[in-house]
Amino acid sequence: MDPRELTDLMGVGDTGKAARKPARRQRAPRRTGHRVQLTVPEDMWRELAGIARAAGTTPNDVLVRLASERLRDRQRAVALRKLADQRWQAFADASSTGSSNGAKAKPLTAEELVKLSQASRED
Amino acid sequence: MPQAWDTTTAARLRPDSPELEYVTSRWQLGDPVAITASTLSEISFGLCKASTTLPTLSERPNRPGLNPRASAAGAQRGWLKDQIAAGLIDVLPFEHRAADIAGALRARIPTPPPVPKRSKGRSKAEGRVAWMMDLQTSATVFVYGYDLVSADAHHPLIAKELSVLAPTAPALLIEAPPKF
Repeated sequence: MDPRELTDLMGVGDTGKAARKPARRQRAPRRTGHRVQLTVPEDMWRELAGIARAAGTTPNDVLVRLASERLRDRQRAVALRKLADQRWQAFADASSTGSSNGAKAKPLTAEELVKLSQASRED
Repeated sequence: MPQAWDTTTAARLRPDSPELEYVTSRWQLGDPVAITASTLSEISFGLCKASTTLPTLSERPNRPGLNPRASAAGAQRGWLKDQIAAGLIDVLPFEHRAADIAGALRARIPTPPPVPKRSKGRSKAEGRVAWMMDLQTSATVFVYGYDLVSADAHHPLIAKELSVLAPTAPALLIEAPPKF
């Protein structure tokens, strides 16, 4: 994820006041949903924290946004795969009629096969 | 629905173009535009041909300097390759399923049927090569589950033929290129 995509999540605070007062804890946008406690591997957390700092948000928020993007990509890929499989299966089913009849037929000779394959170059 | 662009549309992609803006916005939404390997081959062919067959410096002794059209074609090819490498545009490979379907399509319609709007200046031989590429592109897009964006009058005919070859399949939809 490009950290620039996250920059619109949090407004930039008044830096003058921030210098006089202790830094306020960053808060992610409020979300509704299922609350969970989870263990995040240390190296992953460091990376999340780095992105969050650059974007002015929290590691939790970055984690949710990354998961959201990945889920969106996955949903797209699953839908594409489903449609692709339906199309291929429909083609395979419709063109399998010849092969079942062909089981009883005398096999083509090598010369015939070469000639048929090269017909593509002659038409 | 995910879109694949054919040559009539994808060839218009260039820096600072509305087409690039559109492709970028789809990428940002997580739904990148695709082209087929056959389409990329057609575009690369045109650009390479332009950069090698346009008169070179030595052939134009009275007009010194770089041949601007030839170097522009080379630059455009490099730019397009960069966009693909960066993941802005997906390239759909011409793989075994697409190859099988393209072969079946060609067996049904070996030569390009006449269409009202024919490409000017294209020989019969060139037209047949283009036809092969059209078949490959349609077969690839079909089997990857995309819709095809094309201004080519042949693609609706190929899509119709696909619905005969695979009557129960979700149809290949041909969309007109977006207006900019």
